[in-house]
Amino acid sequence: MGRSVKMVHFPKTRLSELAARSGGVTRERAVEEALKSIENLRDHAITTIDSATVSIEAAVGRAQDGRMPTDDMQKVLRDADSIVTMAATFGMSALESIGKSLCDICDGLLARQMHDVAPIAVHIQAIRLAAPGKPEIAAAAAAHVLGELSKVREHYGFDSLAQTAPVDIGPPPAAH
Amino acid sequence: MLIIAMLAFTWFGKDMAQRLNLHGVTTLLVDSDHFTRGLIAQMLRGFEMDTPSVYETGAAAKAHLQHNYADLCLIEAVLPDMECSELIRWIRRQDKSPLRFVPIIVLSSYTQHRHVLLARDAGANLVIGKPVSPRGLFDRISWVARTPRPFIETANYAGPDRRFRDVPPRDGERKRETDLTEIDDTLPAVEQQPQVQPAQKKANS
Repeated sequence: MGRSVKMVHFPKTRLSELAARSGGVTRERAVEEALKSIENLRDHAITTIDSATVSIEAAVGRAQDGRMPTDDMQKVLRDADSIVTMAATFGMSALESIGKSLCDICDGLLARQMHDVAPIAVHIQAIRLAAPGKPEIAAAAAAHVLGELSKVREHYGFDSLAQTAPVDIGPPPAAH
Repeated sequence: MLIIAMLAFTWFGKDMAQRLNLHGVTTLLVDSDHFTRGLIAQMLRGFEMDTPSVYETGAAAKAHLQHNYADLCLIEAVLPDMECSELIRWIRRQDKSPLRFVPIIVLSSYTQHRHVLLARDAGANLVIGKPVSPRGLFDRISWVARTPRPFIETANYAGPDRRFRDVPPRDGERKRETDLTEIDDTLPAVEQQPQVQPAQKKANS
């Protein structure tokens, strides 16, 4: 008969030792400096969002008979994911929501091995509406667009990726 | 005079508790997205950390770690050549090397949410959803630096204790089965420290 073995260590990491030294930076100062640093990347993000949008449009353009190959679909998913990250980082909430909706659609199509290009084409039009550099889309208009896009997802019966797993795994908020 | 000294000591102690000295901390950043790599590197600079070693793939990160140490690893949930769980397991199984205890924070984008449980069960310390905010990242680094966690090692799992709350399992519920491994008694003895349940700890104290 076997027995259960579990070794428990209590390591002191180098990160803990270094962080505990005197000096250093306060939370407020660190966050302030980091925000300043990343603001320099805003222009780069806008350029990258545009490149990702062009890339998705090209994939839609390559589709034949309303069908997109799996490789292109996976690329669209990666580009849409990238748009979500950049839009969310710089507070472009409408673009972030549309990007998430496109991710949901692509992920659902890939999971069911479907190749429909129409729902992707609709989303890319919406992305163009909310793209940085365009006049800011009104909140009511953005809500209407998102409502229509959610109908596309409902039509296919896809779940939102936001429901698939908890986003963060970590200490309770009170621990911060 | 004594009161002033006490007040100064209290203020100094509080200030120290709020500060984090990350200068000289070496970070390994593995992410397939060029923009995210730049974004995180800029945040770390704002935290006064050294420039991170940046890689795009798990294989490149492994090659780096074979000859270099990292004090902190930031790894994307899904890499172009492997899942982060594979890289994390490889790090956690570096026997005799302090590298296996290195704090690992996983960065999960919107389409990678379903991989976060895999990352946790591979031995990640924390998982953060993208986009990562400076405040969120600083708080997580601060937490892993200041909160010692037991490191569990079994045949199926090596990594920090996955429980964040110090409470015993509910009545009738079993503990995570992957923590326990049946082994042959004929094998050489292995170091085993007695486990004290949180309920026992409270009773003892």
